[in-house]
Amino acid sequence: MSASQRGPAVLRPTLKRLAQLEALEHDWDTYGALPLTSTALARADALVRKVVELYGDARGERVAPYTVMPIADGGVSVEWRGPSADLELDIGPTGKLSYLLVTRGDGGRQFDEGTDLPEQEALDLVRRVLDG
Amino acid sequence: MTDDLPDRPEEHIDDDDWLYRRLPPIFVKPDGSISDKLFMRNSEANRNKKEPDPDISVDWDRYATPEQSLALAERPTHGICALQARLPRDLDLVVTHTPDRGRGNRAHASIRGNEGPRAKQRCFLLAEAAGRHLLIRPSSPA
Repeated sequence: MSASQRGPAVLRPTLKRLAQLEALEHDWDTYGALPLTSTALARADALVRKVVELYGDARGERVAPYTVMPIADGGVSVEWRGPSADLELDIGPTGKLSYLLVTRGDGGRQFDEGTDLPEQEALDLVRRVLDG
Repeated sequence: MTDDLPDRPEEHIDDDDWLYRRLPPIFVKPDGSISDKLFMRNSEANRNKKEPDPDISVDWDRYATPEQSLALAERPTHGICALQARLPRDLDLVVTHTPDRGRGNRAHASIRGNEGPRAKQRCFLLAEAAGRHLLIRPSSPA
């Protein structure tokens, strides 16, 4: 099993969800989706734990992802919501990171996205979103 | 919806026409909104290995009802959401009729071209719009 459900209490729903996603079979979306790779699941598991480790003390339960979604190519997406922005961190089937950041402001919403994101930049993005 | 399609031509889809997309229960978020991953990569069709799906399968309402579109997949717990063809076109995507002759699906259509630097944003906007037109709700919680 690539995603252990044992971990910080704040992550229990997330780890349970990862275990649920691990069970998805081929064509789970009816459009030919692949099962999630163990690489993507393991990286998602490691990233959410790292976020709690780095930012949990000062931010409490806000460090928990809002939700986790499967991606049809075998990847996993982790979403964090903050006071003024939401972040979807997508982990591809080979573990590569990409993201969509939606920022809410007086002028409406702004979208920012990128691929091949280094882990430290991903962690910085999460912190920015949590802190608003 | 399904019939023999040996020589049926591809037809023009009007901006006001509706397109149906099957919705797995797992794509419904805790707040009831739909995940933009609904429009992410179809593993069979996308050969360029990019995440957002440059060829999104949908069913055209001229030749299918929501119930027929759902029945084709034989997943009764899934739902159906809908988009008007105008929306993907406004996002610079192409909507085209692509009858699936192999499966006898005359309603099959494609939303094409979601690649490049705004691809994830487009997925987000498509999902947001589709969430406002949830025609058949998935019957089991995510």
